[in-house]
Amino acid sequence: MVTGVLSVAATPSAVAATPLIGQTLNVALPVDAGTLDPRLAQDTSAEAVDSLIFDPLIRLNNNLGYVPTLATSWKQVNPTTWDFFLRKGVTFSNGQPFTAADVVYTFTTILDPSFHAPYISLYTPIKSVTALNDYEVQFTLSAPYAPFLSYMTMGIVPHLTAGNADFATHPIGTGPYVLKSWQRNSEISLSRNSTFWGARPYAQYINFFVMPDTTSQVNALTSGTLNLITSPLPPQDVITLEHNPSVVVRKETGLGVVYFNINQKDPIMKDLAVREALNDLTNRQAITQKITDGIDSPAATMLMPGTWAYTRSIAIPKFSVAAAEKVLNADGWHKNSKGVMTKNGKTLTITLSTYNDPEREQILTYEQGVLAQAGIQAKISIQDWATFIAGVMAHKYQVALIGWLGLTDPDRGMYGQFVTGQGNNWEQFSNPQVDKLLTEARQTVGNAQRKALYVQASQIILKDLPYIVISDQGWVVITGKNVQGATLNRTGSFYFLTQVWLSN
Amino acid sequence: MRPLTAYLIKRVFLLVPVLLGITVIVFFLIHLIPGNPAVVMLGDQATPQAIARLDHELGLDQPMWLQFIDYIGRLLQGNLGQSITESQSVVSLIAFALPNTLVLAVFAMVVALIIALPLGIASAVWRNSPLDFAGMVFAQLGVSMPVFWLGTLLVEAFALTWHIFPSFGLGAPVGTAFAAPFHGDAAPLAQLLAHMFLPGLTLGLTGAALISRMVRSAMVDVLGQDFIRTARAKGVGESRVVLHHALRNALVVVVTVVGLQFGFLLGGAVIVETIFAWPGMGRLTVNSILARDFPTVQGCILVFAMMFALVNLLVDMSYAVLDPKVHYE
Repeated sequence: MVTGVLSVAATPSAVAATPLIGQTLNVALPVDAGTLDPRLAQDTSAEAVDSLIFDPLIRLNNNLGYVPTLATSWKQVNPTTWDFFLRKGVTFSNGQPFTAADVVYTFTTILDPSFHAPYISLYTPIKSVTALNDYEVQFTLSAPYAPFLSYMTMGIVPHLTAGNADFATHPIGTGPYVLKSWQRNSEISLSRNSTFWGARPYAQYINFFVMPDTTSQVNALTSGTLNLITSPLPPQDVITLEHNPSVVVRKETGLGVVYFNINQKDPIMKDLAVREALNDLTNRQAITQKITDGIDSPAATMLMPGTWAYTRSIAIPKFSVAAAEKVLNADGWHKNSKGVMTKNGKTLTITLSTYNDPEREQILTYEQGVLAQAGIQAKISIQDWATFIAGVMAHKYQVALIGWLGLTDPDRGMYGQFVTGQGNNWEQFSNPQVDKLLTEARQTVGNAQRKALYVQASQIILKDLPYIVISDQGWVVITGKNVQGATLNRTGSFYFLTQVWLSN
Repeated sequence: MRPLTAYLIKRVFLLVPVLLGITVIVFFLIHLIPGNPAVVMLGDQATPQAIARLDHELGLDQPMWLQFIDYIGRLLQGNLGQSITESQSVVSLIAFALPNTLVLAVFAMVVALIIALPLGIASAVWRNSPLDFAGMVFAQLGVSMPVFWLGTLLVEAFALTWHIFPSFGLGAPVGTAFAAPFHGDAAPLAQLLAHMFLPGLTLGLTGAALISRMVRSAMVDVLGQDFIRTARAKGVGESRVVLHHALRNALVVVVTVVGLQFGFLLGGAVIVETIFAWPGMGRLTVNSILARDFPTVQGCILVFAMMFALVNLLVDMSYAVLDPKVHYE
C-alpha cells in the first residue's frame, strides 16, 4: 500500500444526482463509549460519537489541515498568547447561545486536576483562558507551544451545565447531531440537530451499534444491516471484503504506530548491543505483509506519513539475523552448544509482553521464532489490557509490544514519551540532547524548523533505541456499495458522516 | 406456622451469610488482580500524578479492609455504588442488562424444554430404536459443539442466507417491548422477539442437548421400576403410564438440571452475547472485570448469586409438588 495515499477497493456505485435527505445510517462500534463528555472521553467510540454531537474551535481534516469551526479565525498575538474569534449565531442543542464563556469553561475544567481529564497533559502549557468579550477568547501559555492549534480539537461544552452530574450520559453540544438514546453496551442513537449552525447533514438518524465481534460486524455489513464499519478489523476480513462486490473498502495510513517499548533500566535491555540486535531482528516487512496483510506499513520513527513532519531521510532498518549475531558477538555474547547466546555463564533470555490482541500476539509469536534464529531465547507474556498497561507504567517489563494512536502532531508522540521524567516515558529513557531537541521543537514556530528538530531527535532515538518502531498503522473504512459520500478522516473523527447518504 | 412458610423463611435467612461470603470473596479477589481502574479510566496518556490523584478520589489508595468496610456500609443502604468507568450508577447498568439476560434465558429454556422433553421421553420409550439413536447423536453434537460455532452457523443460515432473522442487537429495549402492546403497538415486541430468536436458539439447542440426555436417563430408570410394571398390569394406558406416572417421577432429577442450567443462563452467556451483540449481564460482568470496574463487578456477582439462589429455592420447592414424599423442615 502506498504510504499516505487513499486506496479504494471496488468502485462505489454510480452517484445519484442529488443526495437523499432524512435517512438512517447504521454504524458499528467495537466497544461502548465510556462517557459522552468530550473532556473525559478517551476511547475511540466516545470520540467518534462526540465528533458529531460537539463542535471544537478547530477541526482537523484528513491532511491535518485546520478547519475553522466554532472559531472562525485566530491570531497569535505574541509567542505565548493566542486569540480566537468565535462564530456568532450558534446555539447549543438546549437553546443556550454559544459564547466565549463556554470556551473558558471547557478548558478551565480540563485544566482542573480534580476533573481528571485524560488528556490534561496536552493542555498544561495553557496558563489561562479569558473571555475578552462574548465572541473573543484569549489563551495565555506558559511558554510557546507549537502543537497548540492541533490540540484545539476538543469539543466545547455549555458552561451553564456546570455541576450537572448527568452530562456524561446526556451531552449537549453545538454539533450536527444530538443524542436520542443510549442503551448501554447496545446502541447509541443520534438524531439530527434541527438548530445546527452549519450545513444540514444528510442523514436524519445515525445509529451506532456496539458490536465487539468483528465477524458479526462483517456479516451485518455484507447483509446490508450495517452501512459502515471501521478499524480495528482483522486483516484477513479486510482482504476478503476487498473481493466482495457489495462493499467498498477504503484504506489510508492512520495516525498510529506499533512499536517495541524497551525498558532502559532492565539489566539486560540497558545493554545497547542487545537493543541493536533486537532492532536487527525486527522483520518489519514480514510483520506488515504477512500479519497485517499490508494494512500497516513498515516504519522507523514516530513521524507519521502524510504529515508535514514525515521524512524519507531516515531509512527503515534492515532485517538481518547475521547483523544481530555480529553485534551480539562484539558485545561478548556467543552461541553455546545449544545455539543460545551466552555471556559470562548467563543465557540471553528476553520476555516479550503484550496484551490480548490477536494481531499483537501473532507479532510476538513470529518474533520469538526470529529471535531464536539468532540465539536469543524469548518468552512471551500475554495479559489483559489493564494488567499489561499497569505493569508497563510500573516499569515491570523488559520489552513491551504496544501502540500509539491519534498522533496528530509529532509532539504528541514524542515529548511525553522521550523527554526525561515525562508522564509517558515508561521506558525511563534519558538523553539530554533529545530533551533539548524535543523541548525546542515544542516551542518553535514553523513546520520546517520543527521538522528538522524532530528528524534530529528521531535519528538519536533510532540509535539509542528506547523504542523500536515497527509499523505505521493503517486505517480502514468499509461501506456498503450504496453508501455515498463516505470519506476517510484518519484522526478518527466521524464528522464525515454528515455528508453520507444511501443511494437506492 | 406452616412447614413451607418456615422453610422459606429459613432459606431466605440462609441467603444472607451466603451473599456476604460471596461479597467478601469477590471483593478481595478482584482487588488482588493486577491493574488499576484509574489507569483504565484515564487511558495511556495519563501521568503518574493524575493516576495517583484519581486513585485518591476513588478511595483506591486506602487499605483494602477500609475500602471493604466502606463498600459494605453503602451496600447495607442499598447503594451498589457508581461505576468507575461507565459514568453511571451500578444499579442503572444492571437494571438495563438484567432484563435482557432474563428474557433471553427464559426464551432459551423454553426452546430447550420444547426440544428436550419430547426427545428425551421418546428416546427412553423407544430405547435402542433409530429415534433413540438420532436423539443421542443430537445430544452428543449439542454438548460437544462450541457455542460460538453454532451461533455463527445459525447467523449464516437464518440471517445472511435466508434473511429471516436479524443477526445482532436487541431490536427494542425490553421494558418498551413488553409495555408497548398495552398501548396498541406490538411492533417493539415483535422486534425484540425477532432479535432474540437466534441467540435464544443457540443457547436453547445447547441446553436441549444436555437436558434431553437427563430426561432419557431418568425416564429409563423410572420406566424399569416395579410400580410402572404394576400400572401396566392394571391396564393403565401407555401414554398415561409414561406421561403421568413415569415422567412425574423422572422430573425430580430433570428439574435439578434445568434449575442449574437456568441459573447459569441468568449469569449471562458471554460468548453468545458477544456474537449477537446482545447487551446482557455476561458482557457487562466481563467488561467490568477487564476494566477493573470494581463496583460493577461486585454488583453483577451479587445479583447473579441472588438469582441463582432464587432458582435453587424454586427448584427445591418444586420437589414437594412433584414428589409427595418430600417434606420441608
